[in-house]
Amino acid sequence: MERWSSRPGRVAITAVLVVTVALLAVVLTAGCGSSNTSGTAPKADILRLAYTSTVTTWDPSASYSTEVVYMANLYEPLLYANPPGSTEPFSPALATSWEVAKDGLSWTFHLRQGVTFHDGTPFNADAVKYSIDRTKKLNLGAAYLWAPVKEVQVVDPYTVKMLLTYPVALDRIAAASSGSWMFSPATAVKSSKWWDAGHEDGTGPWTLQSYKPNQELVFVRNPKWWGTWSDNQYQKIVVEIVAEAGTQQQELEASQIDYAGLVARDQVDALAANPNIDVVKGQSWNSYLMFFNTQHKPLDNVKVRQALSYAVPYQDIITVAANGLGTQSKGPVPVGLWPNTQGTVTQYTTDLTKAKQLLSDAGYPNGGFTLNLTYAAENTLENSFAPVIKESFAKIGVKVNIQKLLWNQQWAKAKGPIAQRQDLFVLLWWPSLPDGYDNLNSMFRPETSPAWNLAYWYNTDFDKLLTEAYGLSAVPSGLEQSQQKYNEAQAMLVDQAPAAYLFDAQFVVAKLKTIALGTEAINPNYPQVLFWTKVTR
Amino acid sequence: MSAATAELLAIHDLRLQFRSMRGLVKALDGVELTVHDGEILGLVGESGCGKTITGLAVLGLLQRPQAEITSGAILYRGDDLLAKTDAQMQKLRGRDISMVFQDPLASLNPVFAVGNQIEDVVRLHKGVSRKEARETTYKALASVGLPPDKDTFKRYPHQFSGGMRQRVCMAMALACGSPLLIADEPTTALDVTIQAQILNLLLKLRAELDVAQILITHNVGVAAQTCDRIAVMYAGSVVEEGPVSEVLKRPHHPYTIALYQCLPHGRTAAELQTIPGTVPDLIDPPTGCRFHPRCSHVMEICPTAKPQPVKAAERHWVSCFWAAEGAGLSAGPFRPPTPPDAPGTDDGAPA
Amino acid sequence: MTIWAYVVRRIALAVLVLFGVATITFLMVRIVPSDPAAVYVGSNARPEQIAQARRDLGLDKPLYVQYGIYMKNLVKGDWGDSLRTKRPVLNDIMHFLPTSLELIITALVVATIVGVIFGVTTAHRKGTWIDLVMRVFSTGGVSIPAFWLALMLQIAFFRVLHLLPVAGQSDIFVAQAHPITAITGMPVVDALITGNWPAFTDSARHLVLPMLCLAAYPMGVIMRMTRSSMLEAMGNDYIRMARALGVPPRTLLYKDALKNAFGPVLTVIGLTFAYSLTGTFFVELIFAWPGLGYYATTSILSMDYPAIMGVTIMVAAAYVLVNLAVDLAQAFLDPRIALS
Ligand SMILES: Nc1ncnc2c1ncn2[C@@H]1O[C@H](COP(=O)(O)OP(=O)(O)OP(=O)(O)O)[C@@H](O)[C@H]1O
Ligand code: SF4
Ligand SMILES: [Mg+2]
Repeated sequence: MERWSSRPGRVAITAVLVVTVALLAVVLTAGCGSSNTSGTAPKADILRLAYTSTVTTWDPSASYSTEVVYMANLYEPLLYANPPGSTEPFSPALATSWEVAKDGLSWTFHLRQGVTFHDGTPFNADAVKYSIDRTKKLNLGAAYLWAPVKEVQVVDPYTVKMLLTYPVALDRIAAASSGSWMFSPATAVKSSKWWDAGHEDGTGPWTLQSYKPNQELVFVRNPKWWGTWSDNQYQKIVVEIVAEAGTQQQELEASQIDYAGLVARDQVDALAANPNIDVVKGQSWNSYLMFFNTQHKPLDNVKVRQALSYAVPYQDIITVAANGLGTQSKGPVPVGLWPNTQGTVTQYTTDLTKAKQLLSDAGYPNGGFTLNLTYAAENTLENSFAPVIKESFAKIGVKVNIQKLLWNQQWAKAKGPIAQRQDLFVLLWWPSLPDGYDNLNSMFRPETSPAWNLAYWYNTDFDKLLTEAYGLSAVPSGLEQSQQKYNEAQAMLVDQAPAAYLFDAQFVVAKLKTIALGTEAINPNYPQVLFWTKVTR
Repeated sequence: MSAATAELLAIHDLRLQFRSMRGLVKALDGVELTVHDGEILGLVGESGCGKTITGLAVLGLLQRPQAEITSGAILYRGDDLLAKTDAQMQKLRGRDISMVFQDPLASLNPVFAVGNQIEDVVRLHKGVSRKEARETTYKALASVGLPPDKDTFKRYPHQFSGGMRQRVCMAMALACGSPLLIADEPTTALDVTIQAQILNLLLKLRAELDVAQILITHNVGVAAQTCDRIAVMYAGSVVEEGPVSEVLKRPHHPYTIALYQCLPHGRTAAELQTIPGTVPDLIDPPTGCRFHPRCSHVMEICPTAKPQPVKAAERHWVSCFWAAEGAGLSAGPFRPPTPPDAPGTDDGAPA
Repeated sequence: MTIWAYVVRRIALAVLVLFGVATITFLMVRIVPSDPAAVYVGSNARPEQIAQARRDLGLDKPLYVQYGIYMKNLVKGDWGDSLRTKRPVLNDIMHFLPTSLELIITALVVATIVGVIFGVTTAHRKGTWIDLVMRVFSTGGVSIPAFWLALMLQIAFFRVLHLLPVAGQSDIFVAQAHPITAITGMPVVDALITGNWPAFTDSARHLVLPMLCLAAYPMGVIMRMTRSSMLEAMGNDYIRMARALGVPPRTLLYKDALKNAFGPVLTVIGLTFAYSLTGTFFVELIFAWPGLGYYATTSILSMDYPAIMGVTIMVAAAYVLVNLAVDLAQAFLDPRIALS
């Protein structure tokens, strides 16, 4: 009788063995493969960065999204806004000096000479006029920032004068992180397709060498840059798009990258414990707030809104969601950003007794109502603190239904039919320019149809105050008075509580100890941006 | 009757059991069988008596470890097949001994052209080039009466009629020149007219290629028409064996007699069941003669001892106490059935 | 019916299916509350800009008009522009697809080889410890969540063994020193055909972990199907007949039985291909693999409806074509199957 031969078992084993050996061969040969790299740039000259930021457009007029991290290294604005704590609010970039007329309606910029764009075209007043005019005309992205500018006048090749329709702090606009870029007039003949194929034409220290969407971007030094290069700066920047924080972390720990732009907040301690890695934390203009729908009962009652503001567990939110990387907001303008109230306005604390008292004053002695809270599913922080809010509100008898929606859906719902809108809208906000006016203006001014005022809170007194404050901020002499008006306006926002101001988030990135970040490498005025010239070996 | 001489296959005292959920199935209980060169032996018996497993046991095709041969010998040209290794048996199958089965459609691989199936077997055993193998294949097709052309070669099993499929099976089984073919009910699945053609083919193969055959069948008529000798099996043993005319005309075993009496010429399978009583359960088979619960001639000794083959006539052996006694046959010591002309075995010497 | 008539009929049918898929997807992505115009202009946009974009994109027209325009353009080969990348969706897809295909195809090849071999072995060795071990293995492949498997693979091969890179498609230094010339868009293939050995080994190494992660589920499914299908085939009379004629066990298993058992296996390979087209989304995200999955994920997250539609139609088309290929392959394997 035949016992089935043992051969087929051996076939399986052989096949598995062959596959394993093949894999091993690949693995091992590559072990040597990566060490015998030779070629254009020596390893030490390449800075390897892991970013999450994809490019939605390469057009500097239209750019208004995640690609700012690249734009800020390819292009330059007229001025840079300095990080908080600097002696001067601005430092010269493509403009070496500037002045504003007493009425705040005309600004003159004196331009840097001897600067050329990457295509060789000289940078001059015409180029400034071209850049701003085109951005305004396309009216995409951050173009609205230039709305107050009536006309850009070329005074002489290196002087431009900007005439405004109403006084604004144009220096802040000129230093904005989007829409402020100067680009070559030679690109006038190019279509948006040309841009989006991966072209750029700025004056910045870096030029784009290659672009593989969602994958890799390579930048090399602009040899004709007006600034000075030093030996310990890098020759080449390679950005790898890595969407997952965990993956970035692993790559960093393996020294496959030098810098991880996304760090999971609960991994900060683990990373910091690694002897080869530095965790870098710092101020950012990102802040979280929660709008109360002032058109829905009972949130139309200011006492209820105040009660809820007292019931927000500020410290727990920061501990749970941000792993301590944040501080309770002092109103809707982050601390450190103009025109934050700098401690002059009293804020809410977590105080359930007061909350209950206010609720019963409002006619809801034991709460007893239910609120729908929406937040953006993409935001992991919101994901972790929404339940903390729910829990705390439950203690004063207010039930919260949490709805996790994709950002676009969350936003669409907020703009939809009134009855279907949320009661509580959790939002991460960052200003588009180094001016907290953007926060106040966008989120709390009356709107004809809702865009960002998702409290639907319309207050003419506030509106008037804000307009005055903004106008006063246009000229240096008005700043003090402007701050006062701003403080008044923000005190109103705290008292009327159209929103609860949750916390100002800190940024956190991680890097190998082998690279050094200069003091200005990271600047909250340019969110997410790492200035590569300020990174050294 | 052919001039059968040398012993090609001899099975002695083959005992085989299956392990099953219900217990040990004592399926073969001392089978004795001999096939001579160029001879057609009919193996008849009712369903479940062990005809197929006898054939499979010869080829070593029973699945271990469920099937276990507990004793006996299967001699092929004098070599004990039970002592051979798996690899040796594999070489032997299809080259020395082949087997075809009842359902030719199921027996052919549906997804390969029949020509390729035959050719593969040829190449397997002969180690010849593809070209030579193809020639051999055409010859094999011709030998079973199929057109030896490309059209036949390229066809798939489902494109043939039942009879042609059985011819293909035989071509495959005999392509490598096996001297022994075990045909397990090769005609049962076929129409009566086709049956006759296949039986003629068996005779033709014996005549032309000198292929000895074990023809397993339910149908005593089929056996009568085709076979030289016949072996009647009951519940795992051969109870009577002898020349066809001898056994059918003068049956000695009560089982054969019952079979023959209730079976006019040409009647088939189902009618075998008309013998009173039921087929024994092989897990707990009747003691002594396994036929005794159904036997009309049962004697006192029957449940206590297993009857040994005794000579009823020239080349005609029967295993029954009653037959041995009543017919006045010598109830002498056990003698295995032997070829009539083999020297020195005719005198009843013990095996 | 000739094979060509059959193929033409199937493709015509496929077009109908795709038309249906396009319609349903259009309705689904447009009915959920989301504002495509807002997506187009990006975050922090002014209401005027959104209104402008709404006019520019024709989103102010009634939905059925928009549907008509979309379908008309689709027929003309214009799949619309992505709201997010602003590039033509078809360009985007063609750019990202090859990278994904490289991952999917290698994963399926490995899954099929291992799955079939394991399936045959377990069928043959039914009830032995080999059967048990391999079945545990396949159950693992089917039931282990992809993210967990990815993590385990990364820990094992990267953290502990230091054998393979944790993510990405190439090492930055290697890629800079030995840039790959894009021909097919599949880095391993391109490196191979251009003879770029350092880049080849590097990209092959990067392929291993995501490929294994993606292959796990199909491997398990293919193995199970092979096992049961083989068990059935092995019980057939023609196997007994072949054994009776001395065909060796290996040939019996891998030729006689497997060719019969392969029909259902092909069906699941087709199904797992479709599965992998979407399964790769997640794997690509974890392993920072710049393919269609990553594109699709970001498109879905930002409700970029032309991109979502494009990817859906693409996946549906691939699904339909794979099914056709499976049916043809089955007819090729089994002459009894008539194409109709
Ligand atoms: N794998 C097995 N396990 C247990 N018992 C078995 C097995 N194979 C066969 N048997 C038993 O052995 C006996 C003989 O079977 P076999 O198939 O040889 O009968 P047969 O004489 O060929 O009958 P048929 O005319 O129906 O083909 C039957 O009683 C059957 O139940
Ligand atoms: S041995 Fe006894 S039981 Fe068996 S057949 Fe002969 S008479 Fe009947
Ligand atoms: Mg049988």
